[in-house]
Amino acid sequence: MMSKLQAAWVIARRDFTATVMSRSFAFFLIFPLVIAVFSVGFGVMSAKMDRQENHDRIAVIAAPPEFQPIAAAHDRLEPAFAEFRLAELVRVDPDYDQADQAKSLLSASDKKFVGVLSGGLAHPALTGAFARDDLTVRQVKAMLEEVQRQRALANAPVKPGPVSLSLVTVGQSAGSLAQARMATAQAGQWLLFMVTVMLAGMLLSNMIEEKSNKVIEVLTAAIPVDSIFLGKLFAMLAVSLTGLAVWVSAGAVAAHFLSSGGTSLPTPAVAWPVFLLFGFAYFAMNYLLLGALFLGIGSQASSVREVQTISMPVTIGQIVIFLCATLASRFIDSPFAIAATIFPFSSPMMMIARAAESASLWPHLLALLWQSLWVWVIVRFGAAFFRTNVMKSGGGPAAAFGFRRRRA
Amino acid sequence: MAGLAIEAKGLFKAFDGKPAVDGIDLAVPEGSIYGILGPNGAGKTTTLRMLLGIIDPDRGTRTLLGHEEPLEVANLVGYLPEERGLYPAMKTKEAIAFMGALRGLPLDVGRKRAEGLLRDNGLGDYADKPIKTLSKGMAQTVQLFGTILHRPKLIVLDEPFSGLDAINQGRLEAMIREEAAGGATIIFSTHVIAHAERLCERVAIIAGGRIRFEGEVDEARGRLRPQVRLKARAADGPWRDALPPSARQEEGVWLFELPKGGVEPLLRALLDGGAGIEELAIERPGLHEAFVAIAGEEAAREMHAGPVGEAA
Repeated sequence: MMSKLQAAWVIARRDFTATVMSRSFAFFLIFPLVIAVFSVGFGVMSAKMDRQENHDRIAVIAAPPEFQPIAAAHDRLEPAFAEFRLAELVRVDPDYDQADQAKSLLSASDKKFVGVLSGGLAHPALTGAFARDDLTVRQVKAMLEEVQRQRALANAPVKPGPVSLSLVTVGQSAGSLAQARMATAQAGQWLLFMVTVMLAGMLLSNMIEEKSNKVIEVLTAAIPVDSIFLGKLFAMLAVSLTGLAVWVSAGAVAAHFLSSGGTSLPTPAVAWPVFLLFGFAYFAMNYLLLGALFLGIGSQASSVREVQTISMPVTIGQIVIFLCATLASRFIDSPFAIAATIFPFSSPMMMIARAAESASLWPHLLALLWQSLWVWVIVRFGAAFFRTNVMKSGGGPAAAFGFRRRRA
Repeated sequence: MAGLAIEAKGLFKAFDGKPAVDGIDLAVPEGSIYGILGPNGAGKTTTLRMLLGIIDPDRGTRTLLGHEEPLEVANLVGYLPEERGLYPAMKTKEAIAFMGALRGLPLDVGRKRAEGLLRDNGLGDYADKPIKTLSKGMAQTVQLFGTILHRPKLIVLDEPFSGLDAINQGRLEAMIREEAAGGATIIFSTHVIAHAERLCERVAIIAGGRIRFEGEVDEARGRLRPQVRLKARAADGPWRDALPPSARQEEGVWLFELPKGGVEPLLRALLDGGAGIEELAIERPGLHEAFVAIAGEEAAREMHAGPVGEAA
């Protein structure tokens, strides 16, 4: 008799070969790359469009001499506002009735003004659908105050020279490092979540295929159900690692050719090589935990529709867990974060965040052992559930852990 | 008598509270060809699945090649399930080798043996073609090759003749005999009595989840007295007293069981009674008649009603 691991290897080898050699695997590899290319392209385009189109536009009803100091104040303040984007000012010659003119300017659909500044510098009035503390209102106020300041300075006996700010650059500060590492932590969590969700779905369809082919009967007659589950899980893990290797390589090549000194993720607390190692380990654990769960679910269903119905709550649960883990990673030592680290399904995501934010290594050893234990529990539970509900056999999930039903 | 390849005692299995198999006892001698006969729904497949450990019995015990846990001897067992299962995209040779690998046969050895089996059975051209390109009969043959590839000591076949044409049924019968000659024990289920009659030394007749008979084929036949067919010139006369009360006439031929006294007293009574014997035949009952007698007319009708297109 083969050992359980040998039997699992037979299943894993077949599933891996069958998946990697299939046409759908090529799509599986290409799909995220296409999505990434489209996302980057779309992001660049939308940012450009944003810059071009999405400025708030304010009509300033003023004669040119009155408008000039306001425009100058705008230009001086603009660099400091950065991503808050100072509203764009468009001068409009005053009409006889400025109140009426303001209304017609605001209703002109081709001009898209969000507000109209009238009344000159003596009695400025901003008309628009604003609340008192709207950003645009504050911006306009800041511009008018700047005009006032400049006018006051123009009459001052001593004029201030330009401020010379000497900049001393350090690699990092505690504040910036913590913030930056949190970005790394959340990027790791996001990647873990996305790849796992994608692969767990593949595992589900694999199990359905097995059942519809009736091969499962041949398998269960020859090897233990535990081995079938383990084999399938590890085959898909190997498939996913192959996929990851391809994507990471493609990403590295793309980064090499496209790098233009832009932003990059900061070095995690445990340093990149260890972080990547943990990344793979926690990805494997996250995948095995969710995969084992999905495999148990998939084995109960007989059609893709049934799988979708059953797996919907699990998918929603996954999203909730991901969001909780993201939130918890902001306060890594809080009771909430510790609870999320102990809860098996959020544990890998929490631990990858911890690797980004804290340099201690021993918690990772504990976490990996803890997560492995849960993989074993879920696989056994899933296999027992499969035997009970699908094969109509066995002593139920309790039997998987040694509590066998007595036979008469 | 040889040792037992399979021994089952009091196997019981219920699904949703309804008994599918109700206290079955089986004893399959090593090296024999053993048939489980019964109509659809009799409990044949459930019995085989329990024997193989695919499902556990609710009650009762079974040993397979001396082991209580069937998976312990999985490498010595070959199983062809009723619902055939192969991966459609897999190459024929690989599919067979994979089935061998499930039973502990190294893949490279499996591939070589698979090539040989395919070549010897005229399917060599299909070795590297995907399963989905094969006909149903070919796919079934391929699965059978996968079942015997690792040279098991015990071969369990669930309705192996189902879906095969007459030529392939003949080939399968030959293959079963060949495996048995090589020392393997073969147990198969069927609802086609003719196959069991041609192949088996021992049979179990199952109906309604219960064993109605378990023993040698001759013993089953022996439960019935030989059948007499008589065509007499005389329509009536004293010779009629020699016929048992259950005798019936079909198209001018009398059919009845040979009376307990035997052939000689019957013959004398017919001659002396002026029957004018035109035709007299004493036939040994077949397994079919034995099945009818043991399992009942209804079960026999269900046997004949089996899947469309299957010969009895």
